[in-house]
Amino acid sequence: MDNLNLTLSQPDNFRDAYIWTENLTKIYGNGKKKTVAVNGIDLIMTPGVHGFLGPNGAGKTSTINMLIGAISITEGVAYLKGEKAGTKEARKFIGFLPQDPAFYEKMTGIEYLVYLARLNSISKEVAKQRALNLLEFFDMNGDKDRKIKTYSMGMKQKIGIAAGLIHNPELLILDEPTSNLDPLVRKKIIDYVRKLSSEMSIFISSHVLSEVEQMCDRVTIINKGKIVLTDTVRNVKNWFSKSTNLYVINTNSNETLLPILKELELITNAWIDEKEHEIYINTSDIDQFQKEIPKLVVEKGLTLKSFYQPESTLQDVFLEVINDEDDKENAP
Amino acid sequence: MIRKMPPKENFDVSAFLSKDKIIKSKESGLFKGLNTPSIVLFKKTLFKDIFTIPKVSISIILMIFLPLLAILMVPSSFILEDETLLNFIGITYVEYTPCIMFPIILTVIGAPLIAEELKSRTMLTLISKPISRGEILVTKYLALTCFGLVINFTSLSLITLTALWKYPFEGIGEFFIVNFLFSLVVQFFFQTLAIGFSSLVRKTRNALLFPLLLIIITFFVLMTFRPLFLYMQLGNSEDPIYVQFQLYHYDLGYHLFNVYIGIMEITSVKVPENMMFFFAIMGIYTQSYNEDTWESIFTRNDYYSPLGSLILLFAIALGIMLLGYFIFRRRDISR
Repeated sequence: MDNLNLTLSQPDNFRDAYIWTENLTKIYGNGKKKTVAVNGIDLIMTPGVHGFLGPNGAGKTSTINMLIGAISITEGVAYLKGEKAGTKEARKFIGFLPQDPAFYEKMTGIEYLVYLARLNSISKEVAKQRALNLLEFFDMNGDKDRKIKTYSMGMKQKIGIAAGLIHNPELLILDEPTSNLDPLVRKKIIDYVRKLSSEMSIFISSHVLSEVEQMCDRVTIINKGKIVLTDTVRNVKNWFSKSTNLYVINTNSNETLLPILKELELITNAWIDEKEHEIYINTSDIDQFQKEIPKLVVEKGLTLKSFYQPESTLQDVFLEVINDEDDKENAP
Repeated sequence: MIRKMPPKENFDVSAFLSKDKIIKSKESGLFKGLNTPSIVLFKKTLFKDIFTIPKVSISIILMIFLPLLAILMVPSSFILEDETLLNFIGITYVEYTPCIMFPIILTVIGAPLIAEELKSRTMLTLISKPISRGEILVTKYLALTCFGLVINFTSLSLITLTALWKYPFEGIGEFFIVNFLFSLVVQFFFQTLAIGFSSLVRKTRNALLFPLLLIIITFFVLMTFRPLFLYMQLGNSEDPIYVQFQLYHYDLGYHLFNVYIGIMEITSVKVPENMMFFFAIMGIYTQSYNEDTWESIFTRNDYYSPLGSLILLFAIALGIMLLGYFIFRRRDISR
């Protein structure tokens, strides 16, 4: 696939971006055991909700851990709103939910939130009030005095997100916030994130594409440690639809029309979808195609029921982009 | 700013996100005006992780058990009229409390402080907060110091007061001062080792293993075999193995009791005669006999000055602590 790397209009300098990385690289081990987890990525996040997509092992968690300073940066630089990643100043600005978060299990929900708030220099009274507000927001008021070890996975995930929010960060980083959760809790978490997105910027890593599509304004796709695509979700999907040149046509007699279409030079491929019973067409010339096909249908005495370009899902883009990258790598 | 999905429900999200609510400390009491992440972590480590009622009470009971038993079990009629407390209980106390129980307690309480957070992955949450790794290490160290000081002071006070209640011993003050100062050295050495290893290794059991092994080798294995090295000679050498191979360099027990003697010298406390035998086994004195009277003669060995031993102990502990710090600072903390 050509022209993969779509880029956003970039901020003038790294101080304007919430996340700004240049040649960010993480290599684990050395010698023969060397593993390149993140391979020189240039990532820019502007305010909004930014999805960070990639298959398992793509380098999402390593990137996030470098951003929060949990792991060292092998090469390159990373800044969070102008502050070097990993410094105390940078950490004041972020809230963080790790993948499979761990808790002080002997603490109650409210004790945990108050403790984490106070680690951000918030006074006890304010911390308690904020913790109560957050517990209310996450529908956990009734469980605030229970020890965390008695919480379900979903409750733990909610308390983890609440912990990331307790100090009112400008940027919330969520690493796979819905992994290991049942569909009902997943939906709830997505709803919470959507509510929060009106108040703060959120950076979400995930490999669940439908969720990212629901939550994010922008998306970056990473594969094998490299960024393969970054843009707004809408642009990515539009671009993908155009680049695949796929159209759907439905008439009163699709079986009659199909052989006629196959004869045309501007049609590269055409088939009837077994489930929808509509004709799917790949074309080499969109403009010509859009003019000619409706005319042709009328000339053949058929009734045109529908003629449209199907909307791509993020999953289509993701699979195409990842497969394309893999094909490039495996090419002789 | 693009907002695809506005909030659906009417909950006022901004209510808890209002920035003006972040207020710097309004604490009261001991930590008034101090609300930094380090102080918060210190208080949590001290009062939630270390200073729990079971841990403190069990620690103190273990620290005082044997010396208290010795004081209470010996009938008053067996005690000499001008008996000093150091002569009466000195060896039992010093061998049991500061040399075995105190290091074990410090290790068991201190070694998990970093390693357990690494193992349970709560460290990932902690380091995402505005607190540096150095501050985490120092904070945990200081919390362990407070714990050590409290249980050391309490147990020594309980032993001293019980002894005083039992019999009007001479030299109560010197017993307290010498042993308290010695316990401070022991505490510094073993708590530094515990925190150092805790940050050096990833697993709690390994953090426990190394300091405990050191305690076992120093106070159990060497206690058994040191006399052999002190008196056995090898080949044509006139010196015992201990001197011939300069084993005192590596003998932690020797260095600790060399410091003990140093404290006694500084505080002008006379070494009781029965403690001389114990110190001879530790390599501090060489014991010989007057051929006419068969009385024991103790000659002070000058392998190291007490200050030299103290500096060596400090250097070893600080070296391990610094190594732990550098490794912890560079450690990748992920899943």
